[in-house]
Amino acid sequence: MTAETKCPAKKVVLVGNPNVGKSVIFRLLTGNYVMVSNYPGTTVEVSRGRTTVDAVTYEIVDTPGVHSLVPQSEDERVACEVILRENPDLIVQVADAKNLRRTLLIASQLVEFGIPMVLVLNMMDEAQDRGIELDTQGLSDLLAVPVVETVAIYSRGRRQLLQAMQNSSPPRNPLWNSSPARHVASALNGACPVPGALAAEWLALEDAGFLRSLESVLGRPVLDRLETARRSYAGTSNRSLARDVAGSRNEFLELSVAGYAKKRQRSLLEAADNPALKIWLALLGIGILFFLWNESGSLKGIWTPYSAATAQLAGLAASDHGASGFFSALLFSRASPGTGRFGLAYEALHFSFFLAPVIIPFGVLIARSRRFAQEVGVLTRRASTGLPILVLVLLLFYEFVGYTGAQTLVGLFENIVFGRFLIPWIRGLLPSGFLSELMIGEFGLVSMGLTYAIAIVLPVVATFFIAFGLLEDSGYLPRLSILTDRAMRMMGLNGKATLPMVLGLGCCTMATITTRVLNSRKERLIATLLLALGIPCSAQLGVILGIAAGFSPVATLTVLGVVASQLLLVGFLSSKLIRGQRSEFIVEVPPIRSPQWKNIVLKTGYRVLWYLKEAVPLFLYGTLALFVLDKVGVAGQSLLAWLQKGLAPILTGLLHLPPEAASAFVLGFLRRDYGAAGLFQLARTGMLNGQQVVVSLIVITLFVPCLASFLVIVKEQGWKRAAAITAFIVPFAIGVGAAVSWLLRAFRITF
Amino acid sequence: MEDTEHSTARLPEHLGEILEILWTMEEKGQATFAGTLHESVNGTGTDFLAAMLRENLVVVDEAHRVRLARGGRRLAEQVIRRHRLAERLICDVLGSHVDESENAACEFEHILSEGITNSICTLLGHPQYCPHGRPIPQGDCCRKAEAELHPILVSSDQLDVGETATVAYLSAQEHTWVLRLSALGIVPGNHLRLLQKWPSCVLQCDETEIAVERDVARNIYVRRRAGSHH
Repeated sequence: MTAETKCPAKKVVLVGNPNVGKSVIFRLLTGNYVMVSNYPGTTVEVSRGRTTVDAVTYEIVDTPGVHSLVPQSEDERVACEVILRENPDLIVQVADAKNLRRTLLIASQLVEFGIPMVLVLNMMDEAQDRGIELDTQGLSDLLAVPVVETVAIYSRGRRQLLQAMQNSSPPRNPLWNSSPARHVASALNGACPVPGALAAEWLALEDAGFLRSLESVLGRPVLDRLETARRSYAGTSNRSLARDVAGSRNEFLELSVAGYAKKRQRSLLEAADNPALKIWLALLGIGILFFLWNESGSLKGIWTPYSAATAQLAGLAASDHGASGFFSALLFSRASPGTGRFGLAYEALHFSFFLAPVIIPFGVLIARSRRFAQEVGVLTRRASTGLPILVLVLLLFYEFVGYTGAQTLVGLFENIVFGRFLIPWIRGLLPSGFLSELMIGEFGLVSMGLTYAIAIVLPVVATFFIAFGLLEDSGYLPRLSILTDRAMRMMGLNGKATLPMVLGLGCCTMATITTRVLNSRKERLIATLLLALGIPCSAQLGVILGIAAGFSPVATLTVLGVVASQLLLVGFLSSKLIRGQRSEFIVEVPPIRSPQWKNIVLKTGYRVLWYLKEAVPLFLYGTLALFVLDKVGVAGQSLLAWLQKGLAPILTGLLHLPPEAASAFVLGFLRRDYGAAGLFQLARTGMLNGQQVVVSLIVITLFVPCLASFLVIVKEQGWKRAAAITAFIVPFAIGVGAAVSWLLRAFRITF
Repeated sequence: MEDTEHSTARLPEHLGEILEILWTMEEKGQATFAGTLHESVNGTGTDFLAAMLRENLVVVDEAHRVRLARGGRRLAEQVIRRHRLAERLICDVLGSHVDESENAACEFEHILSEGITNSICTLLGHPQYCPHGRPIPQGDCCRKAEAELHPILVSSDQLDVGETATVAYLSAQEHTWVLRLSALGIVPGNHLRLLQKWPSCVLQCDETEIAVERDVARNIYVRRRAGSHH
């Protein structure tokens, strides 16, 4: 590299285990100028950013977390490919200072690339808390690269890291002498600068996709040489080359860990008797009880502080009526009499009675007391305590997404932003006629399409992403998979599949893509089927909860109960019918940590952008299609009317729904939540009774997925399977709906 | 004990095979006819049969059905025990497939002395079944272990919650998850602590907590520390 002022940026690749603070280090280095994109051909996110230090510009690439560079998952494959393809000038390995063995495993693989390196021992504070002493200088001598100690979340060690990046040097390679490595080296004969022993392990994986991309980077001749080396090795040892490489690596790690890390008995007095923490602990206990009291009160209609406070507020709102129109509406509005409130004053009450009493003390305790975090880590993974905690988490989740998102924010957007401003403004702008019909008519792009996409779905999706991000960063999700592994096993899946399922509650399209984290084809197919069948996405869930709020909670429970039982049934049957193997459940459980707000905000931002880019156009196409169906007529009736007529026998005959519901179901083809929102409208205008609401919600939940997720299924599973999934789901959904409808009527169950 | 060890160690190869056939057939509840035996041992079966009858190892009834006599049964038990333990050893420790283990086990069973057989049995934690699922006859070591102490080598899900042990080997039927476990630090020689058994097993290895399903934990064999069990 020349010393010109306009020299190209130095490329730096960050590599490390999952949950070691890699993205925090990344932010420490780059600030907020970040670009996140999927690595070509994958769903794995790779972030890139730039920074300039002492007139040197660095382009920094953050790779997904890896356990080893012998790739076992898509994440690990992408990490290997980034290193291989992008010719980095520098590799910064970010490591958890507590786990020297795993750190050195990756380091011992990275050195084989011969690229200058810096080793970052992050989370030094946690290591010290646990009495782990590291010989940093010794490690630096061993690897012949700079080693930096950091505590990234407190920005400790940033300066030293930047300095080390300037003084980086190619690492020592090989780190130890072993016959398998020598064998590979002599076979390659210095022909190319590829990792030798590591590459032997790559070949042994026999992963066709990875081998293809290796071939495109390294070239066929090199792979042939390696393959020959692998075969000729068989004569010299009774084990395979890859196994001997792994074996000698393990021996090296054993010796090094013993040599460079010492663990002394912890003598640190944990600040458990710190009076401030005790007070917070008490507050948490009181907060949980308070939360449960209010929660059970709103279900059973008994007196609670919350019900008393809202009654007070309602009185205040009534006396204030008409005094100051706009602000009064902002503070005290109700979506419709007796149902959802969305005024900000109500939200303030809701927040301070439901969310704040639990979340604030919990957040403080997690951030301040490591012992508390450890205890929580244990309690959340045990069945006896974990399941009640899971219920609490779900309730909080529901209060935030289902109330703050689906009621307050949806109400504000729909009634105030759209209802009071945007639509009247457009009405004033456009003369009545075709254009006005197209924009703000019954099936108008703004009045229907954008209202659904932005006013109804977006707030729910956004609050969902915030809540999900918090769970993700706190380390709770792996514990969730521990608790659910057994239940998932009944459906031919393992605990890992809980993640796509929970994500499906946000957006099934996104969740279908993440089924790739599952290790076998069979699991991916089952998870995709279940997502398409019965996991209601956030918008749908919001609408279900919104509609059901007008009826008794039993209605909601009936809908969710029927859907859940069908999921279990179909999962169980498909695990028996679909051939193939399920994979073993092996998951790393990170410690419980307090999430970083900045990270949550960034993450939510990216995900909301993704939603706007991918989903909103589909809403508009859907509305447009409906508009056309409504306007184009055959034999004096619109196409929509014909379609509704066609569906009517099924709807009125089998499901006993009003014929108007047909448009909601037609919409449901285009977007599932869209259809549910149509039902919402029907229910709000009093066109559905309790039985009909329950039946129609069940059918629309079980019904075919939205257009977007159908297309994703086609992409992931191919046309044949996507068609088969649809062909199964449609009659199944109608059949279940008809059965429930018959039962409700036969036993005269009303809600 | 001394004399049986000598006699079994010196057993001619064919004798061992005949004993094995007789034992397995009896296990299946089927009768063995003298004619079948003759064919199965390269046509030399009848000579041996005569010799075995002389030594009171077998009895033959009027219908030419051959059955083990008490002395023969004791010898056969030892042959079967060695064979099936060898299979376990090859399958679990060396990670070969069940079918491959069969031939190797045949070779093995002729070299093992009773002392070594018992050591292997102890090392494997006195297993009760061979990889094909057939029972392994108990030896002295098993009876003693049952009476006195836990096996030293157990699968990790059998540890007490909170107990620390050393990883001995991963029973290697599936290479991919062995790789995944070793990337997480579960490799022979490393220490391991069982944190929880239900609903999934949680193991602590160094400073990492790893959740695995029961079936995976069952295939991680660990060496208990002396005195850590009661």
